Amino acid sequence: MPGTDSPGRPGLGRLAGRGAGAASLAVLAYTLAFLLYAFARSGLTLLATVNEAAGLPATLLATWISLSIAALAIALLVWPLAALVGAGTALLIGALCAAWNREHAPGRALAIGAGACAAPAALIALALAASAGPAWTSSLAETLGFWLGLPLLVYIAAGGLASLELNRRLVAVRA
Amino acid sequence: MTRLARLSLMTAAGLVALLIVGYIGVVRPWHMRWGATDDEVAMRLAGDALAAPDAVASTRAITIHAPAATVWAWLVQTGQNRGGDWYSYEWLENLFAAGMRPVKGIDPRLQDLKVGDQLFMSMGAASNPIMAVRVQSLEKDRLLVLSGGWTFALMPLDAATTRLVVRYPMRPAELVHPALSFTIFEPAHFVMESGMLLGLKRAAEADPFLKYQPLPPDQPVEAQTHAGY
Repeated sequence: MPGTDSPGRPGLGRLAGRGAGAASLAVLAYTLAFLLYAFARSGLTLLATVNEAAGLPATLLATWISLSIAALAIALLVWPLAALVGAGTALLIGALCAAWNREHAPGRALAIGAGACAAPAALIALALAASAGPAWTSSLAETLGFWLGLPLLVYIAAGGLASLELNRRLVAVRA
Repeated sequence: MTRLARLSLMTAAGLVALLIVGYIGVVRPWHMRWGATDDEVAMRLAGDALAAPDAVASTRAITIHAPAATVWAWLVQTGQNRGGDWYSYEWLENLFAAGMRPVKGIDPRLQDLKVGDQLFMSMGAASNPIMAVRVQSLEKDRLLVLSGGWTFALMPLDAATTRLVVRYPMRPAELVHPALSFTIFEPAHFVMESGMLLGLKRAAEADPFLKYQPLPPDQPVEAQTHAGY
């Protein structure tokens, strides 16, 4: 197990903490990416409808600030769950790397990290596709894509990168 | 934690604090009465009697360069189950499984709105009544009152201009808990309701005097819509 069988390897608490931290950053990054998209789309709509005399700058600013408040509040609600998933995933990746990547190969570390996240992500996607069945519509796909599809992609990418980073640190400690 | 990480965290926390203070101190008081005059904010509206005693009302208004009858024709089509959307940010609503689709024109079949009719806020409203509002009272070309006292008042300024005043009485626990209502529902409602008023303005002003000619009833409804919107 990480932290118990090899000096220099991060302990379980530290590993879980790093995982929770990475997940928190991912939630923040996703929220900011959504806000940029929402700012652009709402901005274009407002530019086409409101003229400057009718208060375009104030309406634009109020819309953006209101969107930010609501999105950050939702991110705050999602954050504890994301941190928990991040901590658990970090422990899983640490254990898998300790078992299957003793030689610290970066490619294998990346594959283990991404794979550890992709497996549950694929299960969730398949379960949803099966349960939606004939009710599957483009609108539902849009909703699930935003709330689940893109976050799962971020999760897989973060898992791969975190595993690579863990591997890099272990190599540095060993050297 | 490195010095740079600590500095980044403190900067982010500072920005969020500034955002919250700015929202509570400046933006919220302004958006709760977006576009409305003092008289309109103070005015008694028909739906006020239906509002919950602890509700906090927003009053928003817009001037539309079209006759009240034109604004009314668009307004009564509102609803995911009727015209298709609420004239607001459809892409944003659809991120929440609303199933909105753009309203393409005036549909003569939707003009006969009655007390008791339901307007869906989302496609799931048929099985989830919380996502629907019901017409409580209406007066053609003048007034539409929905559940909870949500009121749309149309006031002709002259033969070709209408003032649309909208009041929404928000209950403290509109979204499960007052803290969620304040931080999520209320700002989101401003974005969506101001978007709706702008959408109605855009639609009505595209063809203020409704020059379209409704086709015989056996024609598909798409053919009956005018090309202005």
